[in-house]
Amino acid sequence: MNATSVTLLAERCVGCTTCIKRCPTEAIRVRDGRAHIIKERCIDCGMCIRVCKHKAKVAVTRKLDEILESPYKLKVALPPPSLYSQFEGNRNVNRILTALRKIGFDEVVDVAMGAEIITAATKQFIEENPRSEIEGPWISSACPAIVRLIQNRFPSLIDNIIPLISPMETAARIAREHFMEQGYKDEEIGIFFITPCPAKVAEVWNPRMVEKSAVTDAVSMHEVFYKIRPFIKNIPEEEIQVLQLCSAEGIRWANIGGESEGLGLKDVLAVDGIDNVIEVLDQIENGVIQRVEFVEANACTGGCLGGPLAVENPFSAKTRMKKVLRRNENPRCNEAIMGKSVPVEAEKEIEDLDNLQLSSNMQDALRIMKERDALVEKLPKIDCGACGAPSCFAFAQDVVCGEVDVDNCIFLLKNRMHEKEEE
Amino acid sequence: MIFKYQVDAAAPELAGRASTEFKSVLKQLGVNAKIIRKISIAMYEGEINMVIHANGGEITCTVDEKQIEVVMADSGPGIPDLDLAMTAGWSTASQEARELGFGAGMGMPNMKRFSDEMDVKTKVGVGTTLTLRFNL
Repeated sequence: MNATSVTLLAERCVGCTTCIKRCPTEAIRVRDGRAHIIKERCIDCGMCIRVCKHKAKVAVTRKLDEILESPYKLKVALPPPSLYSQFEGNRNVNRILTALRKIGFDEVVDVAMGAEIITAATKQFIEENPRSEIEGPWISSACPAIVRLIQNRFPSLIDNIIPLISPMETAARIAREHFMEQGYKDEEIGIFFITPCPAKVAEVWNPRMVEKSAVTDAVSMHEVFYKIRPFIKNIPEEEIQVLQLCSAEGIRWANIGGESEGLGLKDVLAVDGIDNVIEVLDQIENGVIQRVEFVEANACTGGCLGGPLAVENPFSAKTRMKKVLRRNENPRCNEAIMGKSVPVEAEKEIEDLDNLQLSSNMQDALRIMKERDALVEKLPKIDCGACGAPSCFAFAQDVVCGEVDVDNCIFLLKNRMHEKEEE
Repeated sequence: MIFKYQVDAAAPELAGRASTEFKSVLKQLGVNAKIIRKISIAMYEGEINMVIHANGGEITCTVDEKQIEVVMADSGPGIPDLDLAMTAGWSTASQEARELGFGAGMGMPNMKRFSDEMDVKTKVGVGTTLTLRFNL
């Protein structure tokens, strides 16, 4: 299966330089007039999906119709709390969950419950594993784009990532266990996460902290939103089922800061937006942020409710979320599923992806670096992007690594033509 | 290979840039992540010291396959009592610097702690040259 969810629709790409410049891991190049994603570097943050004016970048997810027509005997929807912030005028979580059953899911398991469980587990983990100042703070593992960013660009911080699974995975495990107790076979249960972002899709396909995800596949929040919206308005009050599994405690994870709020720690840092996160991770590496106990970092502005596959803009969603949280301090919940316990410890170590390393041999890496820096000096250093690389620096490195010809720099080419004319 | 960085005290908002740039070099060279972390923390401390105490200076980093050497040279006021400066919590940072979050008195002790070898040459009124070595 694909390792990343973010994909290019080649027929829509015009080969402009917007995405190459905004990609936080410089994972895109324009070659032969269209963008190419360097899969090893892509962290599925979805920045390119947001910025592409031609809608040439998409997140590959499982289509809703395909899921609803799939042969699974029991189709379970796994909605994250960010979904609850998407509907104008609705603060009733049970209404949204009922609508998911109306469109054809057999069961619904509220991911906010998983969030509540991970909050408790995180609290306990930090108490039992205090960090020294040199080690720096614990970093949440909840945002898969950030975990991949650390693997790619900040491998020295891999040991800071809390080795606990995500709320999504927790909820899926509980769902599987619960329905198997009810007599379904493992293979008869299809569990589908309603995703606000491509990073979660990639996490289902290619999990970093567990051997195999308990989630079957992921469907775009965008697609589900339009399908359930008419039902949300029209379900009569008496038809609303009690499906909710968690109070505001877990729901607030959809907001940046919501995850750390429940931990009851003195020093927490919550950061959102990929560029801000990069700055904070850099400071942690430099030892500047030492006394903070826990860092909650979300790639998307606003947190998960600002995901690239969410419908509402993150600021409106946040305002609405406040109302949802107020209404759900003590909601009616479906106690049949609650109170289960599943293992939440990570099953494997997070890999160092070593994507920055120029060569496995240091002498060779030094040589490449020297050649690259010498070439950078000849380049105009205006980062125009016409060569297809995000910066003159990146272009020089691509040239030295033999991936592209130096003549792709129009400035160098122009100079060379002038020289020829003078001859 | 040698990497040189100028540290400009007139632009304290740039303090930390040399450490971040050198860190990026080390990642490209494939230096072990834990060693990078130690170098970053120690070099950042030194860089901040150069900004708040010594009017800036120059950092020269030399990389070979066995060792990384970071030399931080300034022509600042020098350190009158080196033993005192090496004491955890002791600081001469100005109120202004402390308000910026510097001057906790951990700079020199941390540099010693995170490096494999530290050498300080200092003369009052002339300047300080601090050499940190890290084994690979």
